[in-house]
Amino acid sequence: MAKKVTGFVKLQVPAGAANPAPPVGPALGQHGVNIMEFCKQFNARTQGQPGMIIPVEITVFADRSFTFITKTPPAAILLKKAANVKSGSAASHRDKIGKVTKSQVREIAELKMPDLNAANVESAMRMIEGTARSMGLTVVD
Amino acid sequence: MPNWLRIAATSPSAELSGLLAEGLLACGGSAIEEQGDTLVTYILSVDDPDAALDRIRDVLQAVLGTDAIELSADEVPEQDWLAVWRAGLEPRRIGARLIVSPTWSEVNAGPDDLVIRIDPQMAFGTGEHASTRGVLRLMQQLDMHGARLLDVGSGSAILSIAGALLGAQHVVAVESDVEAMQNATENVDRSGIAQRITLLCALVDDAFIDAYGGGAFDGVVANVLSSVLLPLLPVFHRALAAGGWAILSGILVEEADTMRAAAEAAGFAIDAEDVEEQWWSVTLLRI
Repeated sequence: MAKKVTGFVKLQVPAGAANPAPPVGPALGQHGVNIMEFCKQFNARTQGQPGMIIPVEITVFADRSFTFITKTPPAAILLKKAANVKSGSAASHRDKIGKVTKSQVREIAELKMPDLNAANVESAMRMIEGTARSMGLTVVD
Repeated sequence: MPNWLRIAATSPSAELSGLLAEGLLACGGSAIEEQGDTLVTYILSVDDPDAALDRIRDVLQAVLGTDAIELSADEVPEQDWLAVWRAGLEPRRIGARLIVSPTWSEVNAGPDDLVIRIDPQMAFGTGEHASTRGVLRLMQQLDMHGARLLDVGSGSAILSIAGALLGAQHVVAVESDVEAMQNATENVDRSGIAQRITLLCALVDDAFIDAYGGGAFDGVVANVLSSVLLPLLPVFHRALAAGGWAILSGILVEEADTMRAAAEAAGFAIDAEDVEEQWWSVTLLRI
């Protein structure tokens, strides 16, 4: 149909747990989006990923209908989980807080491939390794 | 109603933004809004916002492992956004007889009025867009009684419901978006005329028309973009019986000349036109 985009909203919402409280309510309500309908659809689509934070991009059209796409969880959160650490490092170049293996990096790179501007999985792995280093994680074989 | 503390935080690097989001949720936020590089969440307001901000700073510092986080807080009053959204939608009269209304509104309908109940959801076609209203007005200029209709790109099924309410014998509503189909099913089910509307998740092309047989329809309605409509004109011509008509919309005013020429080349005559805002809608007659 004749879709004129009138709004674009980026949120990060725990899987299966969207509700109309702020920031979801005001972020969508100001564009005229049916907030409850978004929450229902988002929760249905993400209920299989409990405990994950899901980035979601909502496009709003001139007649207040909307569509949304969910992204993969942030790399830093996936790395933290893989390394089993509680926090990042204050001086990541000096103080190392943990390790992730190459195979864990590959697993995360493969998961995040749809959202990364990477030509292949090796290139995606280099991006994930960069995030790991900035958190103070060492990548080991 | 409670007030909220709006917390805005910017991480020292994009790579750590994911951890910042996690930290903000650990502080009591239910979700994060991304505003450029800044992440925003809300927690229920407390007596001492400064102390709350210090506590949040400590949590974020522990999660990110750095104190290089820009952090600010301001109190905002609670607002019922569901109520705001609902208040912004009212029954809307379109043409002489059709009224499109959200499900929760009371409608002062006259004896000849026809009411379509639609709440804006995932599917296009809520009556809030000029191109939808253009088709609905043109549909009311035709005698639909007994007609067999094809609704191409049916979205919320608003045009199919309108066709059936205006007297069409049967409507085949075709939509390729699965989520729109779910919304359409709800709207058709509550219309009271579901037995006269068939929803199909498909694309309309020559093969689709072959399945029904050429000339199987008396009318076509299609509110899609002109780039989609132009190559479909010969398909619509095949789909229509002699004397059939097609109402097309989703066409910008500046695209009207191109559409007129293409329609005439495909074997149609222009019967009626409608313009609202920058959207042009047209009724074509099959020659």
